[in-house]
Amino acid sequence: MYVTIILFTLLAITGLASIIGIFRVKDLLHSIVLLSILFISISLVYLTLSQPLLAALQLLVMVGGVSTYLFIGTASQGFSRFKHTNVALLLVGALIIFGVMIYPVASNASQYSQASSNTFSVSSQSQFLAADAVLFYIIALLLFGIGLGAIVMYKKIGAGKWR
Amino acid sequence: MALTPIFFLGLSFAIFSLGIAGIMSSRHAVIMVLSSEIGLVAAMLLSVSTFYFGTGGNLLGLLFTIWGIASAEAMALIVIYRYLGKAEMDLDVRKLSKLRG
Repeated sequence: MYVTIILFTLLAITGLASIIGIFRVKDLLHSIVLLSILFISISLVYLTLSQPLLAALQLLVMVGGVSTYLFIGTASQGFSRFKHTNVALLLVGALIIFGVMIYPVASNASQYSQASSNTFSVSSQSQFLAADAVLFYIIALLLFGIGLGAIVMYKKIGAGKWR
Repeated sequence: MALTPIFFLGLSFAIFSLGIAGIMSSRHAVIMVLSSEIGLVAAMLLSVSTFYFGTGGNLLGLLFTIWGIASAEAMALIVIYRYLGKAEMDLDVRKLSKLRG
């Protein structure tokens, strides 16, 4: 029971930190790597909801599709030539929007906790990390590392030597 | 203590608010598209958690729609980035008004 809460907290911290990092770094390629980390952490959050199929689909579509498009788009010419984000404005705006969104939910928090006690007792909490999903994640992370390594080698060695 | 819907609502609201605030506070066209991807991810997380804690229903249609929007956005971003990048544009949205005409 506590394992899922700890895992969820770690994933939430990872996701929110990677979002802040997207707006902090100057290299757009690093922003896209951080966006991929957000996609992976969100697909792992689906596993805490016992939805391995949706997690695998999320990994396939977002990390395999969208991140690959973005990598291809920005791999060769990555750096932003100007300061692109006002981080203070980002944090203040996010806090205001978050407060406006969470206020009606937090004022009725008891209803939500009652709703959870009906469903979680019958759901398969202990099987949130199915064996097939673990294999799938290992393969996906290996492929992701291979892609990143290829880009790093391409940048280090340089394209000119291969022509 | 178990995972209640409040956890998922809070996380998805936080991610969504950061995405919307990113669109507001950024000047770079690529970062703005990445922010909208963040908002779409938050919408997916909210719909999956609502599906799990609620009465259920057909979720995959909604998710495929959001995935389609996200990948279409990424492909549009490639076109914008490659062609405007080749034209030595800065992708500063404050300067994009020069593109008129």
